[in-house]
Amino acid sequence: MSQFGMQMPAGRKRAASPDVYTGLAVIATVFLAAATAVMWQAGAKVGKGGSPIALQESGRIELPALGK
Amino acid sequence: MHVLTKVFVFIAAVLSVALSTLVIAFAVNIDKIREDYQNLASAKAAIEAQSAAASAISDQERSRLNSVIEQLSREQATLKASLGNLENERNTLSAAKAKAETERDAITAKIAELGETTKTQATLITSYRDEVTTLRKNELDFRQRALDMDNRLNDLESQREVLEQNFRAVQEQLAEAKRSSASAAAPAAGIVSGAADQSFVYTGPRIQGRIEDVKVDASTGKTLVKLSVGTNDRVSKNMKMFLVRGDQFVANVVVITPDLKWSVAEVTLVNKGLQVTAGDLVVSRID
Repeated sequence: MSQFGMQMPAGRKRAASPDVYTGLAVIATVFLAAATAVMWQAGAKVGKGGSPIALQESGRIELPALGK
Repeated sequence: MHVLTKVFVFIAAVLSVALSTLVIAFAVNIDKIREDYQNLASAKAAIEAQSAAASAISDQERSRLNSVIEQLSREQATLKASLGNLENERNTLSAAKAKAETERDAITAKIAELGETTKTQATLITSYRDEVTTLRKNELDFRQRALDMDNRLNDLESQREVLEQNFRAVQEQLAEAKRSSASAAAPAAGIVSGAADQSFVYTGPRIQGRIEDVKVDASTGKTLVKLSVGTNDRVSKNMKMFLVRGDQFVANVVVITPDLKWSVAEVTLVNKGLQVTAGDLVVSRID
């Protein structure tokens, strides 16, 4: 890996600067954050006690009240 | 790699883990919710089926109850009609009762009136009884006097009969004396007779009587008859009398035992073909 890094312009020992990968990471992070937020809201709607990560029990589904 | 890249990759990794956790939890919950939803759907279907069955049963029950309601309505109508009839009958009976009470009052008044009438009649009857008692007493007195008079009359009648018997005896003695003197003189003196015990024909007033009984003397075989005339009628012993029936001569009889009011005679001659019977006419002479 370092061999490839030595050939790539980014592999030289110089101060890294934000590049496309940074942008992609930023975009991925943004979208992941957005997806996490959406899933958080959706999970809160179907999770037990309004918690997105709490699991419902079979036969004892507890949904939060609508409008909450 | 830039540090921002690393940071953002780290953040992205963390977010990925969080996201995966959320997705897994969400998927599990969704699955459970879907399962529960299916159970609820099944239960709902079962409940709906039960509801449909109950609805059908309720419909049947409703129709049955409707029919019962109709029947009860008809019965109610019938009962109302009966009630109306009973009301009419009650009114009729009430009128009849009032009429009967009125008649009862009238009858009671009439009974009271009849009671007063009865009392008046009892008073009248008492007065009539007293009057009748007085009349009966007077009648008894009158009858007693009549009996006394009858007794007196009987006594006088007995005396008269005795005197009459004495008179007849004197007459017979006189006639016997005349016969005795005439038998010595001529047989045409009017008495056809010989000795004193021979029969004779009476020439005085015609004597008439009836045969009361006919018997045959067992010792002598002669026919004896009982005459309804005796010495009171001027019949005497050995007097010859004649029996006739209608205008037919029956027999001759001679008195053998005369009594005051009857006599016993002996049949001496009987017409051929005839017999002496009770009821035949006996006369002293045939005119």
